[in-house]
Amino acid sequence: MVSSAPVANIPVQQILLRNVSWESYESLLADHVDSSVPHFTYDRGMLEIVSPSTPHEEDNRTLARIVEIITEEWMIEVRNVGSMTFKRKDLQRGFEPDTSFYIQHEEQVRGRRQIQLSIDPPPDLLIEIEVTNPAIAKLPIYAEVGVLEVWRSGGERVTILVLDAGHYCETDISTALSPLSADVLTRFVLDSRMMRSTEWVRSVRAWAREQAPVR
Amino acid sequence: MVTTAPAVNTPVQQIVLDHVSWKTYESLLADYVDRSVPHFTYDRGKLEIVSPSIPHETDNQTLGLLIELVAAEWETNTRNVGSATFRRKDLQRGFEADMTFYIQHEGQVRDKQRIDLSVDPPPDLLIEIEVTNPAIAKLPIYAEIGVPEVWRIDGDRVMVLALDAGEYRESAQSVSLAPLDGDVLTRFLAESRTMPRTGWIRAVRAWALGQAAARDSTR
Repeated sequence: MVSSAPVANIPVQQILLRNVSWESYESLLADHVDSSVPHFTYDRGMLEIVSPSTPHEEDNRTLARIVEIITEEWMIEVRNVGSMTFKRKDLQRGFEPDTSFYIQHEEQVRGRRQIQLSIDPPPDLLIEIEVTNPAIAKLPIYAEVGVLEVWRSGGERVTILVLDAGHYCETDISTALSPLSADVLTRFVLDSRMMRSTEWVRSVRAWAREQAPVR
Repeated sequence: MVTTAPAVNTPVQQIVLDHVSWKTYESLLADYVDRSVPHFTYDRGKLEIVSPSIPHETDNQTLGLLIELVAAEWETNTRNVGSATFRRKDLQRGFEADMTFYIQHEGQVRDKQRIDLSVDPPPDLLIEIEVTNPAIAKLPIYAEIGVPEVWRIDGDRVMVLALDAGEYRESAQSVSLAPLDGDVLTRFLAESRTMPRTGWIRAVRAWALGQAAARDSTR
């Protein structure tokens, strides 16, 4: 008997489909409503599907953890909505970031089970781990939807991008979590790869306590 | 201003999705109804999407042409339905092969605009170019749907597989186009990569003509 052997371990998978209808996009989202992978990005008929790799997921979780620790120390309310889908049928665009947070607008979505961009504000902060060959440019979609801030990690460096007149510009300091800077984020991400996890958490917490903004 | 630069040239793309409903599969097929790429394979909730590469497509077209040439010399009617979608909702399976032919059952589908497996027979011969890491095993799907013969290209070698008691086994000769066999197909495929096209076509035609007498005597 001849058989095709499917592989057990599949690396990052990625595909771009053109000519996908909004109906098919919504149908796929409905099938995957309870799973965080893969990520679907939709831009006027183009659909990109990406299954992230493990190192990708680790940097994502590290950055999200930093947000959680710092906001706790600074007594800032935050809602982490993970990689939930944000979509706007009127704009024919939709995306699922690696992690998304409501910070400045947390109160407006507090307790809401479903977040809909037609009535709710866009997320305040997104974490985006760069993939090698993105087929769809994500930033113009985030800009169109009105996401204020994006933290982007390209492996060794974290950059902070802030929306300014419809485009993202690189800045040193986070808008949502000032005075947190790109340099500090980069250092924490690199530290997280070497340090013991409890020690790393203590170091982030210690930094946050020292820097606690006067509010 | 910061921008993400989308890749201009993308290689073979492939993804597999779990937990995809039949409704979603059909909705995607409807979006792609007049296109031959990408290929969708569906197997009970799993959906694989593959965009073939150019060398892949070249081999595929070459074998497709070989079938047309040989069949014409042998006065055998064929219908090439390309990479049409074959699906069976009752089995929750569907596929789009690289090339698909009706040969023995050509008469039954000759005038059909759309082929529907709930009323029409399965295709008689498929061409499948192996992809590096198939996420869904295709042969069990072809077997379930009842495709009697598959030609599989694995790099440089063409294998003729015939359905036998629900499984594919390598066969000494093609079922639909005997006495074509794996060795002859492998040789013609290799030659197609170096010979001028017109010379290659003449060689295939000459071989088919030489075999026609032998075929007639065995009928």
